[in-house]
Amino acid sequence: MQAGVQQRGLSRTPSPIGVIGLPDPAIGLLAQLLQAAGYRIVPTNAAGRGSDQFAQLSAAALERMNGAWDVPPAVPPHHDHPQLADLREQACALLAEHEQGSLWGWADSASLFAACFWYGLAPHMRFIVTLRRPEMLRALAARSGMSPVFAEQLWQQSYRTLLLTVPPAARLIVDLDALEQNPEAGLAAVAMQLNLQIDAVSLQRLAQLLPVHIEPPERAAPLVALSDDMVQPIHIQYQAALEAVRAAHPDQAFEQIADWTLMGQAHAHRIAEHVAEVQAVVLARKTEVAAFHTELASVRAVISAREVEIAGWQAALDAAHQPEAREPPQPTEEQQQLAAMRDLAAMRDLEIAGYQTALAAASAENESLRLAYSQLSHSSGVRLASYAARIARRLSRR
Amino acid sequence: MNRMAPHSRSLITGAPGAGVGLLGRLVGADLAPWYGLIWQRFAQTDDQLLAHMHGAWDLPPAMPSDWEKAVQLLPLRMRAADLIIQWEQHGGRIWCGVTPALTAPFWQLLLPQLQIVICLRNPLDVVRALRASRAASDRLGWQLWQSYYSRLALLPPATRIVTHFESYFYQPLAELTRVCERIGTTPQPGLAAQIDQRRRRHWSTSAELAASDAPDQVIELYLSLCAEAGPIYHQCLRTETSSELLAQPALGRSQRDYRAPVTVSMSELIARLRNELGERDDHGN
Repeated sequence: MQAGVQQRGLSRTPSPIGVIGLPDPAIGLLAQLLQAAGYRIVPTNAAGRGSDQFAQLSAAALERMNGAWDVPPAVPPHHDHPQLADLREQACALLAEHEQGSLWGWADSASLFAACFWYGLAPHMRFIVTLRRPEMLRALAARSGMSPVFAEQLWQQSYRTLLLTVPPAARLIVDLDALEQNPEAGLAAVAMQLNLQIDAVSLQRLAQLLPVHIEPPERAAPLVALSDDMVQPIHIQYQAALEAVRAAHPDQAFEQIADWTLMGQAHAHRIAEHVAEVQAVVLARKTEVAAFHTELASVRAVISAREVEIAGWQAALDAAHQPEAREPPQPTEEQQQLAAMRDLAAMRDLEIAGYQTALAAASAENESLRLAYSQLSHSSGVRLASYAARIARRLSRR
Repeated sequence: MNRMAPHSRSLITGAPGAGVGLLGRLVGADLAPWYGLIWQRFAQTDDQLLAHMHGAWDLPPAMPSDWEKAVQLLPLRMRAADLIIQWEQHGGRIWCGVTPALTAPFWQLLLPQLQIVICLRNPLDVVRALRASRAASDRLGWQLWQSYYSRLALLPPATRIVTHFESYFYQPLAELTRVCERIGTTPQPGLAAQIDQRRRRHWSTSAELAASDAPDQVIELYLSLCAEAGPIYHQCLRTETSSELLAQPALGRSQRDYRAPVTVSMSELIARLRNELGERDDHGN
């Protein structure tokens, strides 16, 4: 198992090794690992933060670029930058001095931004880069008095600069959180990647120093003052770091993934716990929902039955309110005869009515003729009388 | 003397490591335990304000003009107003903190009569204090000092009073009286007498600052604020000039000879330091 090592393929030939990362006690531990394998580590400074000479030159190079270990330089301090000419000479002298020994290394927790400076001067130099989960930012901030927001920015900028300025073949990223889950196997994996010859006793002794005491943030406690849109880029950056590591050795991708799976057993275990919890909750919810569905179906069935019943009652009610639509009874023979007689009588009635109408009309005509006759008679009488009177008068005249 | 009205409120602030807590204790800031809680809530509000602008106390965010009036800050403003009401109901008058140096306009919007006492300290000492307490790099220290005081320097002069950290080790009672008169409180001589010279860990002179790697903008800003630091500090500066500057040779990369006449005045010293900055600029060019 290769717990904690996120990249492989560093040169197996002896090279000077720089152990770098953000301030973390594990940097000293990895330096001890090198020492146990026979490496001579450049002495640390009084503060114990790193190899003094290298730390000083790193700080000076960053200072020239208007940066510091906790202030990202505007431009990474590449070794060939004109402003670094004198520092380049000093650094070359320092490297030449230490190159006398066969195996040597240095450690500094303030050289992440300055790694490119050393790599440019000594391309055969290899770097062990310590990496913490972004979730450990809070612990980092608490330990060093930084605000979480500042720590987050520093984390992002430091590792982004490293990934951009030091090629994959020259760096070995060690996930300290995964390493601490299985220290012995993790350290053995680091030793194997660096081709270090180290005995099991030393390995066990070093493994006992892990985990370093950094209180992880409480699971439920969110990062103070970190909103989601601020945290998300960290995860993206973290994933990008891992992707960059994988991309460096595509031929070993499958093995890398397998290693990564083994390395992250503890993470996976924790995630599995979360998943199990979530799955249990989901299952409970699903059972509840299924029960609700069953109950709902039965209620719906009852409602349907009630609806059918109501429809029946409604139909009955409607039928009760509507007049009966009876079929006409079949007429009997007598009825048929009676009907025929009725029809005949009706026809006779009609005929009689016609006659009566005609009679009435004739009577009316007769009456009108009578009237006309009487009028004519009257007028004729009048006229005759007048004619008679006239004749009488004429006769009298004569 | 511009004495503060009895009903007004005061805020003591400055850069981290500039002696804000010391001055708070000396002027009798609200020291009851309850105030500790409410100060914590003030600080939380500040943190939320800074986080809203993607910053923090050690990552001062860029603040556009009139940022304090932004609509997005309305919920925070309402919460802060509620906090102020609670504070005033409990008789609160003076609160002190570091982050309000960055967010003072926000609080002034809610407390228009807020008097701001600016604790000024030599940037070199602040940088050393930050290095000792938080392992911060010098560059980060300079940046923080400049960020804090450049914002404080933008406050209206009528609402601010500058007091220098050194004055409390020179004539503590006199300086305390000056500040207390301005903010309408009574100095407590007993407290002033408790200042222990031996506990002062970082003590740098202006000459050392000028000879250090401090950015020119930091030195210029520091000198401009020193000019407002009152007569006690100016006397202290003369003493410093006579004792400290004469005792040591010119430091660092500066070529200027600081062995000036003892009677050098403040304005002369400022002019001289400005000339020094000019020379350094010429050197750089």
